[in-house]
Amino acid sequence: MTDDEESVPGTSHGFDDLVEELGAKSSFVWDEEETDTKEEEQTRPVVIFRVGTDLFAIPGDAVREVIGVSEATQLPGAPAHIQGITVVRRQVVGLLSLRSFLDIDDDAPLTGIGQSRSSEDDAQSTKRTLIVETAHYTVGLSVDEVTGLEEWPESLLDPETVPDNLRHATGRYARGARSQDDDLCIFLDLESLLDDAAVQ
Amino acid sequence: MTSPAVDVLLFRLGGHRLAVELQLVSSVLNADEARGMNQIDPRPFLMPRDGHRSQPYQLNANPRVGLLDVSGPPLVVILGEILGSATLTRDNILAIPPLIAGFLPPVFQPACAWLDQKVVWLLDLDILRNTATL
Repeated sequence: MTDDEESVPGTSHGFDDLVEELGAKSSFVWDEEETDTKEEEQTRPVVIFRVGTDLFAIPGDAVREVIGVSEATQLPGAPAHIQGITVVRRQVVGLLSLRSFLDIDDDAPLTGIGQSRSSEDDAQSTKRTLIVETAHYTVGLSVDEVTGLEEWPESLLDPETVPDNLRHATGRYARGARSQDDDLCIFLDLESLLDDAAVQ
Repeated sequence: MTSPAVDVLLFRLGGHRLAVELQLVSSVLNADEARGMNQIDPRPFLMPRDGHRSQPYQLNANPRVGLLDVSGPPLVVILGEILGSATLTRDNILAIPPLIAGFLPPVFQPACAWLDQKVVWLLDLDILRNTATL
């Protein structure tokens, strides 16, 4: 060992030691006071859309893509809530009509309040198909308008937040609710809804 | 190893584009030529469920039928409008996803063909013969 090496402590160590040292001496210091006082509530991304006059939310991570109104091929033997199929990049996707499956009637909004708001032309121009993917299904949901992507606090994703006066078909899949201006937006249990749509 | 290829007869019936295996159809006849022959009719299997269409699809003015290559008395299947023929390979076939496969009547294969950007349903004549009322 030379004099030079003795004057520079640690020269006999390797990169591993340096990296460990780095980990042990983090220069970033949390503001503990602020962290303690602001316990942020967990949120979940949701996609908001409208069918008729009703607003719904589904988990954002289940939405693979949003496409325009796709050409539907009628499915032999299909029930009314299956609009048909469409082919997206060589993948056959079943098209589910929430309007039919949830018995949505434009003249009878979700909770019996509210008004029909869209003209026929507006309705056509805003129609979209949400391609959603769950553990078991890839499905196209036909909706009248996609109104946005939001972060909902986990506390809203609680069946206790769902009012009792929902229509039966919607209430069955409601797992949360949030007021949006004068409307009520219902968070749907997508997996459960698709399970039922597949067998009814 | 080569990919299997199947020659099919394409036709339109009840608004659906359909295909049957060409080797099972010995000839295509018009309705007059098939008079007196036993007929099998796919139309009841094309209808939606739930009774939102209660009447079977009407045939066009000059519907075609396919004479089946089977032993016994002459047997024809109603085809409606003939669209032509094609050869299907693996590249033309798309799987039907679980959500809707359960609704497709058993006379159809659990897959469809994708030809000229259109969906074609694959009608299984053997199952149709065993299922349809003569």
